[in-house]
Amino acid sequence: MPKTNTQNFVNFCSQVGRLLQILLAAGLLLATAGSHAVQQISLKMATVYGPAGIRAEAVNLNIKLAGSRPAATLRIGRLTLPQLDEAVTNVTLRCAGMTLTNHRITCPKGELDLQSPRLAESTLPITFDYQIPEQQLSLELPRLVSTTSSADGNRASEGLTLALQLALQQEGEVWRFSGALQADAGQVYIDPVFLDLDKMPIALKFSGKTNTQTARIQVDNFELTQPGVLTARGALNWNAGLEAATVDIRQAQLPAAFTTYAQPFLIGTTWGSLSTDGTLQTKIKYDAKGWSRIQVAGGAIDLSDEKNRFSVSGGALDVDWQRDIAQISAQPSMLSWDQAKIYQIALGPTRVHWRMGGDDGALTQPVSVPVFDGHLNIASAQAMDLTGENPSIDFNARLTPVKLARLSQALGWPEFQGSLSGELPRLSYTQGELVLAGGLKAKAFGGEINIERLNIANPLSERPRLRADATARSLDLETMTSAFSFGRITGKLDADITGLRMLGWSPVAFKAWLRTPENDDSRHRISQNAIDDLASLGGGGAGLVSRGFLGLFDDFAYDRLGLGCAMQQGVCAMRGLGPADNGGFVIVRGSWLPRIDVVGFNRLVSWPVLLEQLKSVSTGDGPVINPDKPPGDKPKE
Amino acid sequence: MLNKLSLPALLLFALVAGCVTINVYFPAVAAEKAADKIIEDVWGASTGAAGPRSSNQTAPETHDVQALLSRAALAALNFVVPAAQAAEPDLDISSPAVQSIVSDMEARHAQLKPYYESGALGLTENAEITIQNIGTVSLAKRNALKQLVAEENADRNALYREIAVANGHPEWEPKIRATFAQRWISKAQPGWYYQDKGTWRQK
Repeated sequence: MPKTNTQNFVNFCSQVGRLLQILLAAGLLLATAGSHAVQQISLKMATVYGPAGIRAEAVNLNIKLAGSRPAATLRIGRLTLPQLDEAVTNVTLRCAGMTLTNHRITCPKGELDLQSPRLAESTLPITFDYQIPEQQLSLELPRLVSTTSSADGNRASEGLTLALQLALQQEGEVWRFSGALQADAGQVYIDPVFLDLDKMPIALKFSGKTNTQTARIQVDNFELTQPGVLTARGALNWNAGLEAATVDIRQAQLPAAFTTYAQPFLIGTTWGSLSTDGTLQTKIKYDAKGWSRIQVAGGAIDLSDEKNRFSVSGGALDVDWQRDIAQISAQPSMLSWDQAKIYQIALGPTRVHWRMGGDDGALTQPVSVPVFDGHLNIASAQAMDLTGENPSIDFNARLTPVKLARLSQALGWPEFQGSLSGELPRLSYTQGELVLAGGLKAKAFGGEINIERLNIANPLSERPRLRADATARSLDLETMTSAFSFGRITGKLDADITGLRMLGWSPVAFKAWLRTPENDDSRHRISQNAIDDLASLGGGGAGLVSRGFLGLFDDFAYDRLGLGCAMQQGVCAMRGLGPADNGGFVIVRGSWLPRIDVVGFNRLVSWPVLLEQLKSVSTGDGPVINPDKPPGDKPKE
Repeated sequence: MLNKLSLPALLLFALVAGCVTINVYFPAVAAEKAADKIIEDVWGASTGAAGPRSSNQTAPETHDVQALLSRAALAALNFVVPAAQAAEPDLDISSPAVQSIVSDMEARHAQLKPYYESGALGLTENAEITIQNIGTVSLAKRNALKQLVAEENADRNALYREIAVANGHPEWEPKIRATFAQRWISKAQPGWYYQDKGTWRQK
């Protein structure tokens, strides 16, 4: 935007310069030719047409030649610049103490008055010096205050204070320019970037050339300094829009550079609430077809999501992407971290090497990510449609055994014994959805747990959606019940969880069926406490067994146990092994004497209440049951 | 061929079709009730006084016809099956997932409310919100507001989807969204902006 105005200004100055030159020549001619010195020159013109569509109407120039220091006043009733929406009216340029010779016009202390809705102060100080033979103009506008807003509000400024220095040299149709622009007060909003210049002033130096006949501007060199944020230099071509640019951001200081220039574009994405630290260097090339090359390098980078979903510390990267180069011949890229965290899962030091070019990217060597005491070994990964609508990554990976104790500790679960491992032959990430073809396998509680059809949509968003099925075979109930400080049960357990759906990591729906495997020949014993615990889950009172004569026995033999829950809308529809005589359902079918059956009666149990009970049972506190208010009640709307 | 069908036959056909509609298709009235309940939770009880379908401008004609038809059909069906089964099913909004989204939206509303009132925000036809006039927002607060809008819309989209899924009909999502779009606007307070066939209007 400032370039456009500079362009206008160049043309405008050239016009005024020429005009003054002609007048001055005329004045001096008159002064020398006539017997009386000319005291005053006045000139009125209805319309002056300048180059590039500039038009000045009702032009009125008045020069007082009295004394050695002439004074001049130029009035323009209406100045139309094609790049501005509205015309500037009542422009007055006043210069006192001028130097007016046929070599030079100097205005050491001038004032420019103009009425424009863009300007907060209508009087601008101005100085200029025009050397006629050399056709050199130097100009300074030390204070220009702007408060303005575009009609749609997408560009606005409040008290934006600019100082402009400009030197122009005419060579035929070409003007060479160099100058400096300082913005050190006020605020600017250029959708979506907000700049608070009071806190982060900007200094810009530039040089280049422009053609008065076309609107083309070529900035050969610019240097932008924003202390504490970034320093950059580069070059660009402008022709009613950005044609080409090369920008070398030599230092971008995080977090300021991120919050100012990147975060606004990331609002509503996973990366929208990120704390950052470190420094980056970036080189960008832009041409008529768009971005053609992006290089980013940096070190000592710390990132952490403000919602604690992920973090990286000691990060470094050296990334090179080129649009017109095939992935295979692209420059190598590298990314590494000392430590990273996804939710509560800590990842150890990792280096990733890959190449990317055009729309594709691929690992150049396998990656090994330490996860607790195991490793996630990624043999290969392919990224497709990187610049398109639908970027996706396919992984071929393998998880070597991770101790469940470490994992469950990190996730705040009761401590599981066993390990988790998995073959991830095709893990893909498409349209924000992580899909696992293949399965995760956990060896735990002496049995095997398989997680299949795992699908996580928007895994790092506010509310990730997870879908999965899980099966467990031959879990050893004794280890399991001791892990959860549940009353002791021995025997094996099979479990099937189908249609598990989680939103924001809380289960929304699933069907679970836990039961004694068919033909299980292990020893089936259930302790008194376990019966109490089961009974309390089923809505019965605690201590039923210990009160009667059955209290004499420590544990009982059972034939089978089975408990199912179909959870939907916060309500668990319970089932057991089969119907009991009195309308309930059998959870544990006893065998031998003294025979004890555990029968459930509440077929509908509120899931949150059930969870509470499970928690209180497994932490060893007595179950909290109010017999007057069975937990099976559906929560009221 | 249609011309040859008599009017009574057509009506009968409509009724029979309507009968099927009740149990298989979308429970429009229940959805409206559920939407109103959620809107009251999010916006507070002091939301616009407009009751169901009392505001003429926001209830499209087709909707009235549809509701009328399903009511007529309901009446017809009452002769055939016991009331308990024929009654339009309630749309359940009590699931923990829905409730957690609603409580997040309720907490956010305190921050959004001044912007509804200043006209910066408007209610869209697709049951989201958008920045309708950014010019009224101070430069420094614009991106914070954009963030709020992005979060609110993410929650709204999750809400419509979750209600549909929780009630066992994921395919209802567009209809639930349409119901909400109409109810948000209907219950908006005077002075708030809403979209009406692409143009912005003020209540």
